[in-house]
Amino acid sequence: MSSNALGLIETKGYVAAVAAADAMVKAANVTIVAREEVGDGLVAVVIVGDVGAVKAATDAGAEAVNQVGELVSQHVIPRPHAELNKFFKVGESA
Amino acid sequence: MSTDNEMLRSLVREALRDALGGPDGIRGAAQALSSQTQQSSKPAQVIEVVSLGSNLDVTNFVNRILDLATDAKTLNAMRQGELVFQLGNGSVANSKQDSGTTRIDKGAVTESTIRKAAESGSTLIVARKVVVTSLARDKARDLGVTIIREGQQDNQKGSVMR
Repeated sequence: MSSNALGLIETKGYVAAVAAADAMVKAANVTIVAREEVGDGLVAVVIVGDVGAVKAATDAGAEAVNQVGELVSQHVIPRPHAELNKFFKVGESA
Repeated sequence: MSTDNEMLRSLVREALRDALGGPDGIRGAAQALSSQTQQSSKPAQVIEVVSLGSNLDVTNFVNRILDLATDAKTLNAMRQGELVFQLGNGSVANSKQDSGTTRIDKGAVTESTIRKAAESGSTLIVARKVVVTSLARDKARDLGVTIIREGQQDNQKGSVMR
């Protein structure tokens, strides 16, 4: 699968993050590449896939989090630079 | 009693004749009265077309109203509904069926939220904390739904400045 977009969803609470991740992979053809916990209950889930798929997936994820917990932020990066992978483990091979 | 009434009637007639200057005067006055009532029953409506597309337009319109209100005659005409204002083509509200607003205070704005707003033709007012997803933003741009982020003055259609 070509991974020309990066999708990120950050939630407050682990359960919300799991719900988001589940909704995202069910909604579109995307793969989860990372789960980041920065403390204070903030959990981020990172997905990769085609731009359209990632956008649809993050939207579905946001919808799911809306039901369960608190959505902190959501972002889609189309065509992320390869350089990102050096310090943020967000690539497909990460 | 009946003679008193008769006397009273003739007195009034005389007084009227004196006041209006002969029987012609009465007829003329009656005519004038009837034409007046015709006028008041069917007032000439003046329609002024207003185009409200931006905040500047609204300010201009308010200034125009204030100018008109200084003249007592036009003020009265506006109150009586003889001077009517109509939304013109350039108006924001006129381009949609319904110009209601929907407030979203918490949670997230997703694509489905935008679709619902587009159906009712409403504008979304979004609190600062609320997250607007990328897909929702795209959809809003497509469907022409305006998202206004609270605490910000000027917004473009379908775009959210952060």
